[in-house]
Parts: sequence; structure tokens; C-alpha cells
Amino acid sequence: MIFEHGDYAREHAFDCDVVVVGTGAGGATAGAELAEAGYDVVFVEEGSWHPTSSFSPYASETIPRLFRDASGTVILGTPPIPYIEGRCVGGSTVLNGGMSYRAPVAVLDGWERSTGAPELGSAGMEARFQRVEQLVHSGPQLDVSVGDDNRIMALGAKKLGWKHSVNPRNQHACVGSNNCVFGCPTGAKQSTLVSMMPRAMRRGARCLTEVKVTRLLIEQGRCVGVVGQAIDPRTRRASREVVVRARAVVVAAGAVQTPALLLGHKLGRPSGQLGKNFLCHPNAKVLAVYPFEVRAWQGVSQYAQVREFSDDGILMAENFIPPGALGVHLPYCGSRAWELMRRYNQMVLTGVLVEDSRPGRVTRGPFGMAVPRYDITALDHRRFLRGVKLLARLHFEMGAEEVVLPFSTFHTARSIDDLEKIEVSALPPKVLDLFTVHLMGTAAMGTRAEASVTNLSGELWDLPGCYVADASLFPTAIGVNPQVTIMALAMLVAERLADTLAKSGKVAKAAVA
Amino acid sequence: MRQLSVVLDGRPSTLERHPDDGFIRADPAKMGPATRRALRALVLVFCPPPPAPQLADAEDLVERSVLGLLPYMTRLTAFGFVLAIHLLEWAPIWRFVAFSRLSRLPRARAEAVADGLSASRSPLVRTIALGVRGVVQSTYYDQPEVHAALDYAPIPFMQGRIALRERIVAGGETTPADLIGPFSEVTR
Repeated sequence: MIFEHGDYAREHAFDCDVVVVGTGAGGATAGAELAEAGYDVVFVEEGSWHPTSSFSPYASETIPRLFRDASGTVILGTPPIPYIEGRCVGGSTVLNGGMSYRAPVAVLDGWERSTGAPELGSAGMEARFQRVEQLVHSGPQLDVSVGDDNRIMALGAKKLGWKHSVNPRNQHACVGSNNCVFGCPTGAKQSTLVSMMPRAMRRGARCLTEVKVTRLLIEQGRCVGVVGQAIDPRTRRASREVVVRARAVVVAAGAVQTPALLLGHKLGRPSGQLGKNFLCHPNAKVLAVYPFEVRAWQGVSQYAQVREFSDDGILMAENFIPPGALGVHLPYCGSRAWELMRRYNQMVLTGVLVEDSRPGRVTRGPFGMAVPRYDITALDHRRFLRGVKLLARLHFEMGAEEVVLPFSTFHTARSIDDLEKIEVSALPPKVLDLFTVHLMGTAAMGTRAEASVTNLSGELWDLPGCYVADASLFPTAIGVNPQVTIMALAMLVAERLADTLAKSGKVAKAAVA
Repeated sequence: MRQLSVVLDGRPSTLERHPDDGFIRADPAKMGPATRRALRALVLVFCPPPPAPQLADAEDLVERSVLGLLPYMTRLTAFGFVLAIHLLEWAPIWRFVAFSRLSRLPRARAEAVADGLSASRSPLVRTIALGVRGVVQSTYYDQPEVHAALDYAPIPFMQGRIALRERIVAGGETTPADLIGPFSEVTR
């Protein structure tokens, strides 16, 4: 059952076995697993419930519905990095590209070595990855979903002799409507809105939407629930307190909002690592304009990736977006912007993703708002310049007339020769225009209280009963799209929490029923 | 309160611009007359001149869009956005390029000043310029008249894709006619 703002006038105090804060990749997965294990689960979601039938390609309608802060979210630092997060049932899985990559074996085995926990290694995670992939229909795309922008990337990589891999995606019969970023209109993309949440709801889970959790309920040193504010949809102001009491609390609000909530209680001791180790896989957009029709708005987004340089922490992929979204990223206004945009059907929008080499930090700012901060390193800076240069070269090799570059002082290259101007000394980090959607690592799990924020069950070292089940748990960046790894870790947390609840002597309510 | 059957309903999208899913849009934010004047003036600079499509109500559209988005931002972000509107309008003065508001400069000169802001080496200046300009341009390029001029027609395409997916899920076979493109010799 879904509760909305109007419902809290009648009912604003809830009891359950487990309250889950957030319905994205981590929260929905943990909640679904616990509900299926027979526990009474209540989700608390800040955003609203928007069904597949409401998704459209229109930016002005979609952004306030689905995007946190109407997309006005920025990571402070050099350079500032705008980021997007979902604020709706399904969280960022409603907006992402639907990539279904496991964290690489080397990363997982590194986690195992650094924590001494075999559960986090590639062998320890295998069964959970398999189960997640089955639940979200992870697999390659149908041929009928592939458009010309992806063909250009594949042909360009082939021409240059670069490794090019088809992406596994969490989709069921995706036919390439190319609206991933505004919500899949066919229901093919297996966001948690259409995969995990229905599993939980079938088992009787309740979902309290339009409630922002403002604090944890702590009694006698134990977390026993959450307190939130119902948001009046008309005024966007807090209108009524909503209290959910539970035997356990799972916080899964994402790697920016989760630490902000927990820092409000000065948690994260003894390591002091809460909010630190913030990782964000920044990426840079490279927009190519071809002298022929591409119609990149037809066909799946991110069909494949150029992985030739993945060992150096550089990935490349296409990712086309509607004109209302592309309009935000244009380097020009007025007539020059139109001169570019009138060739919308000849464009291919691509990106260079760089694996973080040094983490940033999330702190709690004025009004309790989360303040993420991140500076790119000299190594990442060099990687970006190299990645952009290589990707622009691919486009010129394929016949592009013009490539719009992510540098504020060097917007347009018209030939391969122009790319020689991409030099470290000429383009310092502050002139890079970056962007991100992958936020990770602010409440790292581990085996030692002095070096991590949660134990291997996802439970905070300094607050029994409070668990984390989102990308905050990542000990390091993973270098690939994080959704599947978040889901696998959320399963680990749910399994262990279910064991703990069972051992506490109380039988799951649903099991009794 | 939505019942289980509604929650689990997996119907594909109706692709309407204003879908009726029960979502209540926030009341538009209030904006002072000076900010309103500045915003409307900036719209004329940021939206392209002919031959690009001219929207009869561009200023109203953008104003409605901005006032509709502000309530969803944090208070600090919304305050920063309003401040950025004024900073942009007065940019020619604080950038020492002209003793005039941006909207009072000749169009080509105003565009050059605005483009200069987004080419700045200062991330703060760029952020000020891109935030406001992004909303204006996003609203402009989201309109049906502009879509038509770009030859961008997502609705019939998506309707066709929804029908195709329903056929596939029902066990139907795909045919060569279902392929997207190729649209050029390069990709053929």
C-alpha cells in the first residue's frame, strides 16, 4: 500500500519490523528481501510514486517530479560537479542508464584483502550477484533496440582497434525508446519501481511517500525508528510529523543523503569515517556533430562501452538525451546555441568516465542539508584530458565535422589537429565541465571499528539497530556502474538482518499470519 | 492511499506532457518584480533569434518554469538561483565590458557577454551563468514548436516502440522492419 501526503492526516504513527529509508537500488532490494523473508517492512520515501504510465520525454514536467532538488544539486570543489539523484519511488534507478555491471573481480578481491572479509570478495559475492542479475533480467540488448549512435561508437572503436564491449543491462525486452533518463516509458528497464518494489508490496510492505526523514529515533542507545516530516505537495513545506517505530532501521538514502542524516546524530565513531571516502566517478561529456543523420534519440542509451582503457580507469560510452535536457549542457546561448542544436539529428552525445583516485567528503550544512565536496586529482585530470582526446579522435575518425569539448576555455574542435591543444598546462582542472550520477562510499563497511563506519552486516558500529544498505557501503570506487553491486550488498545486509531478527526470538509477523 | 492493484499496475506510458498520475505540483514560488523583470529580460537574450522558432509566450513559459522549479530546490539553492538571475543581468558591469545591463545591450553583444561567462576560467562564474541559462534553454528546447523545427518527434516513435515491446512480450517475433535505422551510408 502506498501512502501519500493526504493520508498522514489520518495515520501518522506506524509500527513494523523494519523501516527502510529510501526506495532506490539499496533500499528497495533490502526491503524486498526482508518482506519476502516474512518481515513487516515500511519504506519511507521522500519523493512521490510515479508509475511507468506517467513517464514522458518532456524535461519541464519530469525534472520536478523525479529529480532531487529539481536537478539543482552540485558537488563543491575544483571543478564543481553537478550531479543528479532520483527523488521518487525507485530512486536513481528510475533515471539511470540501466547498466548491470558487477564490481570487477580485482575490486572485490581488493575489498576482501583490505577488510579480511571473504564475503566481500568475488567468490563471496558470486551467489548474490547471480540472484540480483536474475531478478533484474540482466542481459544484452535486443538487436531491434540499437540505434546509429551506438553503431558509430562500435565502428569507431573497431577502426581504431579498441576493445568495445556490449553492456549487460537490467531490462526485459527493451526496444530502445531512449528515455532512460526521464523514466522508461515501456516498463522494460528494471528499475526498482518495477522490479524490487512490487516484490515487497506483494508481501504486504507499506510505502510512505512524500515523507522526508529528519532524524533517527534512539532509545537506550539503540535505534528504534525514524521521525520524518510529511511534505505538503503544494507548499513543499513540512506539514506533519510522521513516526515509524521498528525493530531495525535500514538507511538507504544514497551516498550523499545517508551520511547527512547520520551525521545529524554525530554518529560514525570511533573511526570518524562517516561522510569521508566520498567517491563519485566524475564524467565529461563529448558531443560530436556529424554531416549525416544519426537520429540518436532512437535507440537504447549506452548499448556498449569502449573498454580499451579501463585498466587506466577510463571508460567511454554514448548516452543520448532529449533536447530539453541537452539544452542545459550547451556551451552557448542564443543564436550560437541554435546553430548547434538545429543539427540535433546529427549529434552523438558521449561521455568519458574516470575512476576516482582520491575521495572527497560529505558534511552536514545549513538547515541539515548535505554538502558534498570533491576535488579531482592531478592523475584524474590527466586521465580526463586523455580520455576526451581519445574519444574526440574516435568521432573525427568516423567523420564528425565538429566536436564540442568539456572545457570552458576550449569548446569546439573541428579537426584531429585541434585536439593537440588539449594539454595539461593549457586546461587546468578548474576549466573542466564535469558531471556525475555515481555517488558512493561515505559509510564504508569493514571488519574493524576504527577503520570503517559499519560492520559486515551494514550495522553502524556505534548505533545498534541502525543499518546502512546503499552505495555508501562501498569501501572503494568500483570503476563501473554501481547499481548491481549496491543491490548485492543490500542483499547481504538484508540476509544478516533477517538472521539477527530471527535470533532475537520474535517470529516475523507475516510468517505468523 | 493507493491500493495494491494500482501500485503493481505496469501499464506503459501514455506519453502525455501532463500525465494524470495524481501528482500535485507545488504552487509556483513568489518572485519580486525586479527579479521577474531581470528573468524576462534574460529570456530574450538566451532564447535564439530567427530563423529559430519564436515562441509567442517564451517569457511566460520560462517564468512559469522557473517559478515551478524553485519550490523543489533547497532554500539555499533557490536563493542562489535568484541571486544568479540578478548577477547575470548586471554581468556587463561586474565583468567590466559595458556600463549597461545585459538585457539592454544589442543582442549579439549580449550573447557574446553571456557566452563569455560560460567560457570563464572561474568555476563560480560558470556556475552562475550555466544554472540560469540551463533552465531557460531547457524550457525553450522542450517546446513542441522547437521539437518540430528540430525534426524531433519522440511521441510517435515511442508509441511504436511500446507497441513493439508488447508484441515481443506476448511472444511475437521481431522483423527487419523493427530495426532502428541505419540512417546513413556510414552505419549501413
